Amino acid sequence: MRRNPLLLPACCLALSVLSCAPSASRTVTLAAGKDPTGQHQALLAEFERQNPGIKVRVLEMPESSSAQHDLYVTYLAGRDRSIDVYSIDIIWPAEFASAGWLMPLESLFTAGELEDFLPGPLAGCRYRDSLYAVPWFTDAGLLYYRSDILSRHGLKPPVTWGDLINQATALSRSEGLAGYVWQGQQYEGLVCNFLEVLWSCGGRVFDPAGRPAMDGPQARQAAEIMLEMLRTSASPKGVLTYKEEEARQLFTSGGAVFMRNWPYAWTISQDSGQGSAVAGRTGLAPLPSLNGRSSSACLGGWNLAISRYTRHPESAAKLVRFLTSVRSQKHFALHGGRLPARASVYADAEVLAANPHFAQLYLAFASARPRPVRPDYPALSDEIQLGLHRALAGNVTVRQALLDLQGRLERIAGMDR
Amino acid sequence: MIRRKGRSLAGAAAGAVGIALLAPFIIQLSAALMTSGEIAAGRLVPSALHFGNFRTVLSGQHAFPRYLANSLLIAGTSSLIAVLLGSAAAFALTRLGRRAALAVLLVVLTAAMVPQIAAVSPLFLLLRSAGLLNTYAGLVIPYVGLNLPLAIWILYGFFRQLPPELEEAAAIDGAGFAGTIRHVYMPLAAPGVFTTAILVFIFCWNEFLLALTINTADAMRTVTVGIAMFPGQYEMPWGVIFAASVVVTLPLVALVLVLQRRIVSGLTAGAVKE
Amino acid sequence: MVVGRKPYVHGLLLAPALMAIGVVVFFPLLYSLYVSLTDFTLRNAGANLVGLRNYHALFTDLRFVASTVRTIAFVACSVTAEMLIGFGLALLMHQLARGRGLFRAVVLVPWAIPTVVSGLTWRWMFNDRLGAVNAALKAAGLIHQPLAWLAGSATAWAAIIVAEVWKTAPFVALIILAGLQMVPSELYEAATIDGAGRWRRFRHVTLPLLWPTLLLALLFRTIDALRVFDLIAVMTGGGPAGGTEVLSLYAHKVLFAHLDFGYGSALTFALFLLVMGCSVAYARRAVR
Repeated sequence: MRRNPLLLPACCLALSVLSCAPSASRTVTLAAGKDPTGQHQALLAEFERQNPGIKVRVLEMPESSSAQHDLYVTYLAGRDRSIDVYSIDIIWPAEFASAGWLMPLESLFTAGELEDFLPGPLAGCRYRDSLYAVPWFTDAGLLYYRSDILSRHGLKPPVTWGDLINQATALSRSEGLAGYVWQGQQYEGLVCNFLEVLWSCGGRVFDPAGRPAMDGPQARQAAEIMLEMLRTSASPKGVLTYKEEEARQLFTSGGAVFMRNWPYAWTISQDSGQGSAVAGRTGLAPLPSLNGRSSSACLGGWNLAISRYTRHPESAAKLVRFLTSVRSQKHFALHGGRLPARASVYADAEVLAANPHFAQLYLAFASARPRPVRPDYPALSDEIQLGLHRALAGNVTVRQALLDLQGRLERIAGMDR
Repeated sequence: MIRRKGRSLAGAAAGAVGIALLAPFIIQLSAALMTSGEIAAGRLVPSALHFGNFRTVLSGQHAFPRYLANSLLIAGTSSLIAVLLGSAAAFALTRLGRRAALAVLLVVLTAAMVPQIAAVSPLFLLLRSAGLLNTYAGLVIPYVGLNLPLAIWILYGFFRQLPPELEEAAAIDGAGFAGTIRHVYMPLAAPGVFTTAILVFIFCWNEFLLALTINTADAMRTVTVGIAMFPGQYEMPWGVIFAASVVVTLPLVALVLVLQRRIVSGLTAGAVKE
Repeated sequence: MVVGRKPYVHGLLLAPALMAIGVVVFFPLLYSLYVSLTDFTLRNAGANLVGLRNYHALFTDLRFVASTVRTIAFVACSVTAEMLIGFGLALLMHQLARGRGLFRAVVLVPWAIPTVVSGLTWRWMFNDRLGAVNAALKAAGLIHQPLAWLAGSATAWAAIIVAEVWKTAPFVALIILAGLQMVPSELYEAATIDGAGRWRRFRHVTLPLLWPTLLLALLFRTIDALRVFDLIAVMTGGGPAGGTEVLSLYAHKVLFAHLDFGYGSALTFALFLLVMGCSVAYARRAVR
């Protein structure tokens, strides 16, 4: 038997839990971030109608990804049986799967059925050739720009980082606004912003041999591009303290020309009732890249996974299939604007009529990439956040910061093998 | 004459300090009354009073009034029990020798030093095996344990200042130890007892990590977790969060205002000797 | 017969409190001590006892050393400011003839706002473009360009300490006020009759009697400040460039992001030992 210190006290004292284990009633518990669409209830009622004998209980969690992560780790490490289905962030499937917390879901879908899911999210849900989660909603980084300002100056949305920096610098001076705002605080969002630049330079966090590549020329180039934004005052120094909302508020109140953000900001920017000063004067574009290369957005999004400790694996599987079905995803897209993880939903005329910007989003999603799919990703991310912030906040040179980062990543990656 | 001048000076100083202390709260209140557009534009004062954020908090899909009731019950019970157990222990300590008292107090104090992030997982396992997840007791028990060190230390400090002859006088009057604590010690230490109760109450009221982990069912949630339910994954509805914060803070302050006179004077009135 | 002289009564009175503490606090403590002696990570199939290996690793971990130094510096600055300001607030409250109850309630407000929310509020107030702090400084003519407070280590620390002191000075003030109220007014009257001035009454009557209370406030603030977590997590998340990463933040990352429970528990236990080392010295004085 494997000796697990978390199991020890749990076993000694778990009698009361085991004694009240329900066997007749099948209640499947779904833990998910709060439902901003208000559509969970309607869909779950439909599921219960279709599957008599199964009841679904929803545990709504704070939407903050880190609060959920800590809570789920506590529950799963404690082999908790009270939650059957978890909605998990795209960066967790490998981590949770390698810990042995998730059921493999390969048999849940045929290969043909899986084809409809967007490739990026699906790749994020795979670990060692098996599927451990099913894409539910997706998300990816986009470039927002002030279409009115750009057209006044006869400019086209920038396609290279150099263009973006030049335009942002010039426009911020002539308009008296912030140029390009993004997420530069030392936190997970910084990794997304960095990877997007890194990928567009043709770089990767790990080379094909599985070695960290932070000492390579592409990583250097990517970090230099980000530093250049701050040096040229294309981006205000304050971006080093911004998360999504700081950037979004500045942009939708009319204080910035360009912004990198997730699709959620689009809805807010178009809603004058919500106080947007830029409704109808905002454009969306794929993120810039290096000359001639293609750009890739960083994927976000949520996925459904089944706990290894569930008592109702079959009912849970039915629920996962139902919630990730075309029908459910279409329902969410029509009623809540949540971004589907299935290609066919983006081709649906009704969905496109309700959300014309989905066509634009699909282009970004189709080429979007997940962050490194590895069980030690949270540890890697922690180091990347720190290393990059050292380079950007100016304590050390880019070269030195990346060398240090390389060393720390090698240590973590070495632990994995 | 000089005395009066000193008094009014103190009053003026109190006014100025009060405003400084309240500044962030006033900013919250002001932002809670704005539209989200006004907040994003960096306004300091709302153009008109918008109560939409308060409506969202009090009648939204998340049962905020219910969370308030849960917090009131959990924090109230916890601080009551902590003060009761703390008084009993502090009383006993005043009767032990200095060395023995110091030893016990140091042991008690170590309990105040445990980093909370280290305590959450084991407490979760412990409370789960006791079947106490998603119950009030599941939070009251850890809150009492975590706050007893503060309660015992404060109460010990105050009880110790009371002359031991008081106890003998009470014993002659035929009071048992419960009576002695209740009628002699508590009233004389009323400022300390009341302060302890407030501090413990507010600690429980504000606790987040355990509340999130132990009580996941919506009906059992507390206000801090309730506030954490408002932000989206990225979106921060500042107006709503600030309104919730005001809704959480104001009743607390009102409660203290009402209770401090009542409790302190009530306790003092019961003293054997005034 | 005085109850207080029967030893078993002491035991009975102490028992419930000690039991409650034992269950809630000592079980988790022993548990994390045990885990800290293992190599338990989630990717490690089994957890084996490895003795003090995790503790040895602490000494060569620069991030641990740096975060410990930061923690101690933070405690020194913020607790000193809290004690001074808290003492001042308490004296002010004690002086007030009218409105003491109201002022006391006002003083309570910063302490009563959940740390997560007040942290968010301060983060927002220190925002470079939209924050109230820069708006005020600009209006006063002190700055011309927006200052990105949380983007530099020194200014980020200033912001964090302001927020921390604002939040916790009331805690100190309330404890000291309770102590002031316990000073029998006869003592003041006697001192006044003896012709003692305001300063001498304070120096020779108030301060000696208040000494234990001051140490108590100092003790609990130190313990709490050493474990600071929420406020910094919300305001900077440990940035910029790790410049505000304190020990509890680092331990949290190792526990929950690296999922290295063995080493993470060693970090939290080291934090516990640090807190203990700092506070036992005070504690002895406070009791004496």
